[in-house]
Amino acid sequence: MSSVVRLVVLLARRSPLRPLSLVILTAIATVVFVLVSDLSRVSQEGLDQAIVAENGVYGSFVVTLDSGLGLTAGAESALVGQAARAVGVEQRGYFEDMPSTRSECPPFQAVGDQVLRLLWDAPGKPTALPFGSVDGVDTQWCIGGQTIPDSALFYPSDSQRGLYQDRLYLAVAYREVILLATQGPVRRGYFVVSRSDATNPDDIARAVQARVAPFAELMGLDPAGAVQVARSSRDAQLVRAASSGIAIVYNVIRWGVLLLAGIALLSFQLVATRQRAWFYGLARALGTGGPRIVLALVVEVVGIVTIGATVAFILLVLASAQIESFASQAFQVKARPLAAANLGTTAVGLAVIAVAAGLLPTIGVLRRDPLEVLEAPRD
Amino acid sequence: MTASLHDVVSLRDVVVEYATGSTIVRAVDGVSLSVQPGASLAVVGRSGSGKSSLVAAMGLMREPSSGSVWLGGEEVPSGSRERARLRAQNIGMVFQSFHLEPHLTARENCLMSWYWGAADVGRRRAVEQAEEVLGLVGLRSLAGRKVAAMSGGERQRVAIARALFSRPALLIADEPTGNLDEENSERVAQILFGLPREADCAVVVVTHDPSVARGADDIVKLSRGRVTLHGVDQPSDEVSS
Ligand SMILES: Nc1ncnc2c1ncn2[C@@H]1O[C@H](COP(=O)(O)OP(=O)(O)OP(=O)(O)O)[C@@H](O)[C@H]1O
Ligand SMILES: [Mg+2]
Repeated sequence: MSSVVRLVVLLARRSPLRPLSLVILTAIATVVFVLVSDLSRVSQEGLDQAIVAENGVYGSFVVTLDSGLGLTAGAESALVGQAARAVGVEQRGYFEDMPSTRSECPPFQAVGDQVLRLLWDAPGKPTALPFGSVDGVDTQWCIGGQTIPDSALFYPSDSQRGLYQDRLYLAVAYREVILLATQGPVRRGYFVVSRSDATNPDDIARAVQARVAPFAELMGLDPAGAVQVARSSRDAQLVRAASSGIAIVYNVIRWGVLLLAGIALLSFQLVATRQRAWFYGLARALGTGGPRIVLALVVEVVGIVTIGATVAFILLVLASAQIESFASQAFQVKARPLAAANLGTTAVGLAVIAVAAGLLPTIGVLRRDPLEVLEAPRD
Repeated sequence: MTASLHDVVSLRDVVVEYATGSTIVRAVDGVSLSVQPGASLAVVGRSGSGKSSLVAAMGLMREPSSGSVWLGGEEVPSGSRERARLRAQNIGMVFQSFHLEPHLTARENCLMSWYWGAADVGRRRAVEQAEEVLGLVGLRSLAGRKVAAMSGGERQRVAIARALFSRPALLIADEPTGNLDEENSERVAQILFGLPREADCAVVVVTHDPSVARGADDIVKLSRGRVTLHGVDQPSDEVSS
């Protein structure tokens, strides 16, 4: 057993060209596989985080409570927060939609009635929005005899609309101005963020209803009717869908690279065993059984793949600082190419390659008539 | 003809057939012969007369279509595993092509059957054994040289040494001088036919070369798979035809 391994090692040392090329090939494929795997992860996570970080402008769901419950924003927020935690999702801030209003400055006819929206990270903590950016709003906002300056308004540009939708945002400082000049209730919606597509809005609704029930009873309302949960922004869902599309592309690339490496390895081994048919024919003539010949071929490929993977691992460890700083500068993401999940997948992929490239050539080797190759003139 | 207990190998009514498409080629057509310990035998005959097929059956590389092969007085059973074991223990083979690993030394090439696990000895003992058999072919001093740096004659002698590694009772060489010039052929023939004395090993040599065949104790001539002449007392032009 061990002498067969010695033979494989001896031959590789004496004519290293093929094994060395295959080690390099495996190492390159492994590095590419690991890096693309991580790229796929960070692109997915980065997008999720970007979406979630916008504090609920994209939340997976919006929870609205009947204003007839008479709860303050602080009470509502605490209540929805508890309910969200209970079903394993996260509550992140809320919006307040002002009663519908119309600008009093000309040409107001062109704009019509509009709902101005305020964003809060938490009660008392307004969300920082890029106020002053109002491209595309070609009217002044005047209300109750006051002009609201552009610096208190934010109208998302085309590229921002994926996250903020097509709405006009108002700075918190002008909240009272609007409320004084209008009638009607303020509508609050709480963003509830789920990282899983499997989250069911009904579960969230039930959790909130349970906590709302005492107040509803007090006010003579049906708790089921007092709570609404809706899936939020379709735009953001499209962004998410695009991101999973990108993930598919990355997956095709990384498994494609590994598959190509496997095919290359297999072809090299098939050609080598064919060219060296005499070697295996001679082994048979010397009385060697099939299992030992299979062992020799598998040991060779497993050795090549193991060394290649080790080289790749060392390269990644040595370059990890550079990879991380490059990733954070270029993409503002934290790269972790050596994460355990990454390495586990890589190891499984390489093992499949090694077994296939080791075993498939043995079929040809064992089927060939040893005498045919031994009697054929060669040297 | 009976297989004596003392025969190294004997064939009884051996038939070797090949199926090629719809037709069956009978390469060996009922040959019986035996080789005594310490004897040497040359097998001659035209191209296609069945020499290689005959020695393949003798060397347990092919199972006869009918007939039987006896080694040391015992009939060789069918079944590839058992035949491989008997082959590894009793028979060494040499071919026209040397089939040596050019990047390995003569010694390492001789260790090939040890590497493949046929010899159940430690590495040190195996190396000694390899050097002994290289001594038998006069190459002990070149044991550490890579085969790539050796002449054709030297390479064939390394191949003979490799075949002798397990100290087989029978060495079979199929056209061992086919790739060699006259001088090297002579040297190789001399070594081969010296083996019964030097290594206590019976030798069967297939050859086209009458001057090689002359070195053997005994000669058989095949034509169309049958033995047509047996014995050394035959005119050399018949041997060479
Ligand atoms: N593997 C095979 N398949 C089919 N036919 C074969 C095979 N090997 C040999 N033959 C046929 O069997 C016959 C005998 O072949 P064999 O190789 O034994 O002859 P030989 O005497 O060794 O010839 P040579 O001197 O050319 O080596 C030939 O007709 C050959 O075509
Ligand atoms: Mg032949």
